[in-house]
Amino acid sequence: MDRNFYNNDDFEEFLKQKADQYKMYPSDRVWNNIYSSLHGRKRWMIGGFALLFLFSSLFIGRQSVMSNYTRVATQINKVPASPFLAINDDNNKNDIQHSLPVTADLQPINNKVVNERTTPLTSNKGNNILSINGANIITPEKELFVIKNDNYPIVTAPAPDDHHLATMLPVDIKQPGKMLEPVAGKTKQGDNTDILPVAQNKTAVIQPPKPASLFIQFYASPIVSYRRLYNDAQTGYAAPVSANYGDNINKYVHHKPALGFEVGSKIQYKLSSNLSVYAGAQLNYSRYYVDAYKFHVEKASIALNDSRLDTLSGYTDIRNFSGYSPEQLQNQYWQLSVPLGIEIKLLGNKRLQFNVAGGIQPTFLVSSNSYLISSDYKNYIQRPDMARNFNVHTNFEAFLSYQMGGIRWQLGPQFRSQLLSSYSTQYRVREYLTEFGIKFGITKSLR
Amino acid sequence: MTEESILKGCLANDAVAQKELYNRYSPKMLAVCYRFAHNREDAEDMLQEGFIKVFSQIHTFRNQGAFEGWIRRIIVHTCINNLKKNRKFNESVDLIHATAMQVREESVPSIVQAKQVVECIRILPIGYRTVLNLYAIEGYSHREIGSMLDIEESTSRSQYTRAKQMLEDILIKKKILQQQPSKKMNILSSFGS
Repeated sequence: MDRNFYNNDDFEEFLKQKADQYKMYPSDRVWNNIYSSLHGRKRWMIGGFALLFLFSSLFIGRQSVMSNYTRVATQINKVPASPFLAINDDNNKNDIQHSLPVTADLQPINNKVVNERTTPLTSNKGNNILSINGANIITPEKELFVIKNDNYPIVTAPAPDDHHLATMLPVDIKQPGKMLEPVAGKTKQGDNTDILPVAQNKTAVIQPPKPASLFIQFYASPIVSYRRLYNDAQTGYAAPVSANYGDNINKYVHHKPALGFEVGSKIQYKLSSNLSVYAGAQLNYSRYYVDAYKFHVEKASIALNDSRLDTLSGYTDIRNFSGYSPEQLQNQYWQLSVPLGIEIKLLGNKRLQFNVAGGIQPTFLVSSNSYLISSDYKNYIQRPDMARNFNVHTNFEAFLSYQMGGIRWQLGPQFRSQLLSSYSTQYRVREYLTEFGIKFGITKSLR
Repeated sequence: MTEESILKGCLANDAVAQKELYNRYSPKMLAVCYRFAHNREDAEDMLQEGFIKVFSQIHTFRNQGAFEGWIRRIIVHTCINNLKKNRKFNESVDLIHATAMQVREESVPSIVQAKQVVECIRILPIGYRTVLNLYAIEGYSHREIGSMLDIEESTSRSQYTRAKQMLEDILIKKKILQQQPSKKMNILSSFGS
């Protein structure tokens, strides 16, 4: 065969022309990956930092609660153990010193245990210092300490306004709040217990343990997501191709609810026996199905509420109506929220309660994979850049809770609703997600 | 949206502008990638990598020449870098005197017009195809091709000559081109000008 029978330039021109005429339409995956690469890392970093911040706050909060006890406990740990308790009170002219075998369990009056060891204690006037074998224990100002022994009476050490440790009083461990009678410089209870004397003109207040006021809760819930759609086309920005389809967009789409989940934790602070407030961190995975059809690649347009850029166009192979084959899509959202709200106890006792709770949840969209409907309702097209990054949700829940040991278990229905559209204000179709779920949670007291 | 506003938006890392740019140029650029790649999936991977480079290097575009040409150069270089990572490609390019492959008629897909030509190009061995793509379609010189593919300029020339001969053979077998004793190209009328 005779080769090279074409003019080189013509041949190259022919190839170039044909090659340039050829176009191919990439799958949605390509843009999604590009978008994730350009913007996704930033989102995950923000989400990660938000989580880190929230859990750090929880940790620091817990640490600060324990800080007072830790400070005292550290000092006590420096003191060698001794089976005797000795009190010096300068107000007492006799400078009575009594030895008392006691296992010291120092704690603020709110009933938090500090440390437990057997040690002699002395008090110094003029400051807020409790001495043990000459080593000083700095006591928090205006806090009361309880020295407790399971076998012997509780002795309280009030820190009065004049910043000195005045006295220690014996009380009946079986009847908190009741002081024992001093007997000739010594107080006796039972056969084998020496009780410290009560200083003259000093009043010791023995407070019953306060109920816990700070709680941490962990919870999870399967959720079912529904969506409501509205079209802004009639608000003065007439879409170029949607006019024939009427106003109610919900008539033209086929969406089904799908299962997602919610997990989170929150810190609860009890304001009263019936009312508490909470704040926490929560992760939501919401989704719903979109019934659509596969079709050949065609152009789809999205009209925008933007005077500068009124229409976006792109290529898609997904149709809302007739196509080659049915296709089920999923619109998915990963969200990080900060639930803030109140909880009210409506019925029940300490063990079994019926509660309601509700609040708002500022929400950050970590990731989404959603299909937007074109302005003529004919096609679905992916535009992750049109998703709204920040949103606000409200939530309401009712639940039964049951106290078992140190943990309160709860179960009940919950409802969560999105206040702002899932998409940016540029997109004329507004989507609002509503979620229903059965929430399961456990709550433990922090102090 | 004008090209200028797209460019400004991309410089500001605006996702809407980036998507517009992508929508405008991705069909052409995927076709470019497809001519270099083994299959469509590889072509999409190249396109993805290329566009990430485009968006991350867009501040280096100096408005000297066409924006499309600038994007195209990035995409082509991305394709070449991807191919160079492939051991088979390197072996193929090194074969200066590669024997002409046997083209079976049934191996050419029955598709039409531009796509048919592109598919014929894709039948060529990867080394031939790459040189032909770069020289005949992308307009690089043999010196530039030699530099891009780490081969001698003369190797590029010989690869191109053989690639061209092989492609002519394929196109004639598929009746896309007619063999002319007058040595003048005659493209079948069905393809037009």
